Amino acid sequence: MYIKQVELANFRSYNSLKLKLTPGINVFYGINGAGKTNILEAIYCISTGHSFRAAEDSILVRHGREAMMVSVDAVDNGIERNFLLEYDSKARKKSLKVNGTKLSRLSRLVGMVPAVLFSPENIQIVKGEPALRRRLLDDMLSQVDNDYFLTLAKYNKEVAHRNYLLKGIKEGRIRRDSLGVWNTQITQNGIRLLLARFSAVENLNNILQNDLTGDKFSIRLAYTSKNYTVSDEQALRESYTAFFAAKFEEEIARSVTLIGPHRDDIEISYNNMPAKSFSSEGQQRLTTILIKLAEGLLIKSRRGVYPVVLLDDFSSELDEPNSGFIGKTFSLFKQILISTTYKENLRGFSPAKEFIIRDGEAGEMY
Amino acid sequence: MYNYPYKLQKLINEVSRLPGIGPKMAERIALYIMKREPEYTENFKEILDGVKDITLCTRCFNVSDGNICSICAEDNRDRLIMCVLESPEDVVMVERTGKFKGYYHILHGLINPLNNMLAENLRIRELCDRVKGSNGEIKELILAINHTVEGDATALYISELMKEYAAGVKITRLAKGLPTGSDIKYADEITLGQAIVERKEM
Ligand SMILES: Nc1ncnc2c1ncn2[C@@H]1O[C@H](COP(=O)(O)OP(=O)(O)OP(=O)(O)O)[C@@H](O)[C@H]1O
Ligand SMILES: [Mg+2]
Ligand SMILES: [Zn+2]
Repeated sequence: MYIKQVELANFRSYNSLKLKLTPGINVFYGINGAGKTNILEAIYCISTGHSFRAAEDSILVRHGREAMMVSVDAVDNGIERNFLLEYDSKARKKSLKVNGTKLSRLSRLVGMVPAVLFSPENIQIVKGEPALRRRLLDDMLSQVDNDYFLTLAKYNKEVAHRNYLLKGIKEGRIRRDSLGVWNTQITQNGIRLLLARFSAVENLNNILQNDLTGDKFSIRLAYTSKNYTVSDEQALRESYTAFFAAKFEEEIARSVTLIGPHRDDIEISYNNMPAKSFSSEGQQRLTTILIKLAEGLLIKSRRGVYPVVLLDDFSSELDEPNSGFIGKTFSLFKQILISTTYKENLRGFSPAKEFIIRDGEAGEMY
Repeated sequence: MYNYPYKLQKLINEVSRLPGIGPKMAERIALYIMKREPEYTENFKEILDGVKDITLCTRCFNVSDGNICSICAEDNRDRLIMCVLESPEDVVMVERTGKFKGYYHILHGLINPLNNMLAENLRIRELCDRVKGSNGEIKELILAINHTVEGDATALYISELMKEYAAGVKITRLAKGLPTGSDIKYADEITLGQAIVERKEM
């Protein structure tokens, strides 16, 4: 899939903007605050229904205006479709139309315009809390697997119910045998999520090695849990049963469900050493970008559609060989949109189209 | 600032507390009631007065005018099959399908810990007693409850309980699937996906 045209009205710093993009590498240059990220953000909104950096939709509306819209023409396999996102901050109403027909639920958008985003703060996937790494898998799998998306929503609610019961048991309000069905439910749905995550991690590792890093260096993910190993359904069931028998008191004392996909981590290693503790800033950045690109290739292999690759603030802190190395992998994708401050940041590959962003306008470079 | 006479304000306020009625609509309804002839409000008063006579059927816990509801009072229904529902309004829905000829059991809610609804707050104990008390006459329970987290937990709870107390009873659940009259082309992929997973042999 590639994006042929983006149109913005009252979105962030833009009054109105119309950009024609092409397959291949599209670059947005501009000084700090020019509005480069805003463009990538708009496209991300079309892909997921929400921003990756605004806590609230109203932040996306240009100061002094009431409503914004983003319109994207996306081409998949020669078929062009229009996606129109509108948000009215007065009515607090968001709507999405595909070829003029309104989607009944925003969640139905998931996966229609697949995209992967790298933004500088994503380096936290390597450096930061486990929750960010779980989110990486959850967001990725939700884009490729509807069943995962639905099961995850159910699972999270089941854990919330169960935690509430644990608290009630601790306070003596609730009988200890009330957990039965919730144990069964979180085991069943938890295992469904786990099996999907295990195979995604294996997939990502294969993609990283076969399509991205080759034998030059290695980036590997390892799924880790305190309570089970990467295994099959039967073994996982046994781990859950053993856990419930051994750790019930601890769960009550802490009023938290201590087993399951919401507690796990994914260890990321660079050249066989934990990247979190041993890798340099640049290596961590390289690792993050390559994991994101692997995510893109996984989406491609599972859905049969090329995701649009969004690279925000590319190449800050990447040296020339690494920037060039990543540039070479771009040929594996249909369309890449890159924002960066200066042209000199991009070495080792040539853009198909370049824009200079200035004062809420975009000028095409020839 | 001007406002309506006090008694009218009170009426508007009471009407606006009804489910699904906002302040504007409450105003319209209240003014409508006010303008009607005295017989109308007299009659309304009597109807409201009669509400206290509506109770729950002691057998199935459906709403009822007396001890036993009109459905439980019907003798010629199928005694082998029972339909378990979340709330009384579901009975009307199932009856309208004309596809079910057995008796009902109303749970009055679903297991929902976050809303402080536990199994013991529902009519599950009574369901168990009914099935056990039928001495094997009841062969099948249809759990016609939603496919939500709370519905799943409730269905699971009941089926485990039945394994313990009435092992021979068959437990079924409504299929998730396509609404009739719907065109596959326009079904969302979630519904269509579920319909495929839960397909039936022909
Ligand atoms: N709702 C809004 N209304 C008007 N202007 C906004 C709004 N939100 C953000 N801006 C403006 O948009 C600009 C930021 O745009 P953006 O984040 O795209 O910059 P950038 O080009 O990516 O810069 P950098 O190189 O620093 O990352 C800021 O000048 C900010 O004031
Ligand atoms: Mg930026
Ligand atoms: Zn009855």
